Amino acid sequence: MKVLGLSFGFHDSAAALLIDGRIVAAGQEERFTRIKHDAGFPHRAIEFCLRQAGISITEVDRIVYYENALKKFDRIVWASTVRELQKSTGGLRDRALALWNAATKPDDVPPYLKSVTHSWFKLNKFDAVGKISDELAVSRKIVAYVDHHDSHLAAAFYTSPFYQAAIVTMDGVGEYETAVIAVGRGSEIERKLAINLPHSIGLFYSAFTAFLGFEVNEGEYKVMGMAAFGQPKYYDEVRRLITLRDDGGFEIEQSCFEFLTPFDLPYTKEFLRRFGEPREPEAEFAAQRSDLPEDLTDMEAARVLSSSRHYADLAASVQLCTEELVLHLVAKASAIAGTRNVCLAGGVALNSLANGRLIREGGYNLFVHPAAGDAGNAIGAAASYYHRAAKQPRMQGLASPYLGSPLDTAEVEAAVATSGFDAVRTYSSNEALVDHVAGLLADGAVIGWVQGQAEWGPRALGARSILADPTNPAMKRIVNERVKFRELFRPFAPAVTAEAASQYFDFKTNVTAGAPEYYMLAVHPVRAEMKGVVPAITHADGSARVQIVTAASNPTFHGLLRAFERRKGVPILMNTSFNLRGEPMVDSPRDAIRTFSISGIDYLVLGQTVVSSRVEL
Amino acid sequence: MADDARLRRDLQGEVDRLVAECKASGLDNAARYLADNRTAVVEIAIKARSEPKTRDLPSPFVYSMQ
Repeated sequence: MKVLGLSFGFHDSAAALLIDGRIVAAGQEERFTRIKHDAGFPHRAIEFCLRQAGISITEVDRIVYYENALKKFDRIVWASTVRELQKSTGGLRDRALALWNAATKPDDVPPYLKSVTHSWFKLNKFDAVGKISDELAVSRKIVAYVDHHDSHLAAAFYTSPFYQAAIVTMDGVGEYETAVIAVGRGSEIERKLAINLPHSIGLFYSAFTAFLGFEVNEGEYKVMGMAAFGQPKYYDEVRRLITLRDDGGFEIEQSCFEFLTPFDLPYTKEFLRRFGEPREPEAEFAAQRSDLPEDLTDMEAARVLSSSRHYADLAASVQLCTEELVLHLVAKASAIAGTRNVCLAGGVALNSLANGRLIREGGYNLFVHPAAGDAGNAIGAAASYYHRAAKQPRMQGLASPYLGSPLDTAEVEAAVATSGFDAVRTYSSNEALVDHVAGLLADGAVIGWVQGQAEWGPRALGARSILADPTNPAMKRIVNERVKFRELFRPFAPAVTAEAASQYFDFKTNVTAGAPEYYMLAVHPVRAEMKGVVPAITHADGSARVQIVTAASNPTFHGLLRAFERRKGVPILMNTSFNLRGEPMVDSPRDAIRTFSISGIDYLVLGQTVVSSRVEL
Repeated sequence: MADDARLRRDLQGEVDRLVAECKASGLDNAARYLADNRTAVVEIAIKARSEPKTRDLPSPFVYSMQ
């Protein structure tokens, strides 16, 4: 049975193809169109999936959309009604409703609802089934949809290695739901608890993300990074916004947030009264005087340092409260399911600090779908239909995160030939390649590394990565400033061989294949004695978001780590996504050449070919 | 003019189909809104469909909820 799952229309469009219970291909549209978080119809991702399988769209048995569009619109109408009622009192309540009943003029409809109605008609969001049918020229009869959190639940559980597990999904909002607790067993998923809008941990975190001057759906990682520089001094104020319920649920204090009918900002005047002025986007951030330009006056420097400390303290407080909420949800889910196997999905599952605590302090056997956000719902939608509607036996778990575009040798040759770079060398064996590249890394070079099929999910896992020497204390600044052009406070992650991982990082448990550490989705402390050994990947609080690499999962990358170890005594590389700030990760050889040519990367490795930005290789 | 009339007719039909589908799915909020405010909704829809298809999206926060 061939099932194509699709996610599009909101953010992070994607396609995934499931054939007889095996994930054949999965790709995110942004990688092909080069538009970050592309929300458009995923034509290119679909083409890629079909090409990988060697089939045409007519051979697909079922196409499944990742959410229920009309139910989402029902929620928007409900939220708008509630908001109108909240704004009105006494006899005005009836008038508020009457105002938009039997409206004959658009302006009689409340502004938020009018705006949404307009955009939904404009973008044809009401009829996802019809849109898919039209765009792909297939019968409506083969198109289905599943609810948003059912997609998340399926992505989390069916791709996990567990036969039985607690499942927790957490995001901004789907149709009505913002978090769900369920129990998975074999091919069955049974829901146990759902949290509905306006209570949303995802929107709560996003509101603070916006307040801290970062873009929502993009800057949440930056809040996590910033938190390491602060102390949770505002814990009490932030914690007061959350009520943890005995049944495992939670409530968010609504006076500070505008989650029902947001027009622009997700927080209210009351929020500003409690937390002060929001941080300006792109405002300077520094933990110490030496991080700031030398020509800054002492008074200006003091102002930046004080402001940075304040916002970092707030980030630390928000992060701590979020972790407590996640621990609360997972504890309840685990108790209900009667197992310590836990599967997570939804955007909040990308909070790698919370995941680290679940593993170390909760002792859970954790699985996090690597594309935990809405892109992952392409797999989730297909998997949900496959099991719950088509009643097929349990699909294979996720064998590898490398589900994306393969690296085509002919494309590499063509891209290099037209690149204008003359210093090119191709190696005939992996051993010679990794030995040469390890030498370059040991000598301080920054490497663009493109190998095999691209990663599924937002993390670079050694297929589309930028690599550098983690033992060089200056490397963090070099890559941030010269290569990625991003904020200096942001940390870099390590890739480490499985054999040596526990020597460097304190997992507090045995890490098994498929755990979040294999997908760079959990933060753990760097062992005290190793912090000075790998300063470029040790964050301000002594932690690191680890990726464990095995010879089985990625032999070439593992070989490179071993070769680097022979040179520098450390089986670790600094590993960050191969992209520039604000761009999607590179996908094709041409994307890689382009990024290489406009950044400060020293060498580009495309399969067996090494390209140098210097005159000689 | 003929195009305008046809667009109006098409959208009236589309709104009626949406109402029927919402009712059949038990989505009472959407069904009631679309049915009770049909005239205004059709006017909003005509304006929306008459505009060029640009990517004039609201803020990421708002967009992620809609």
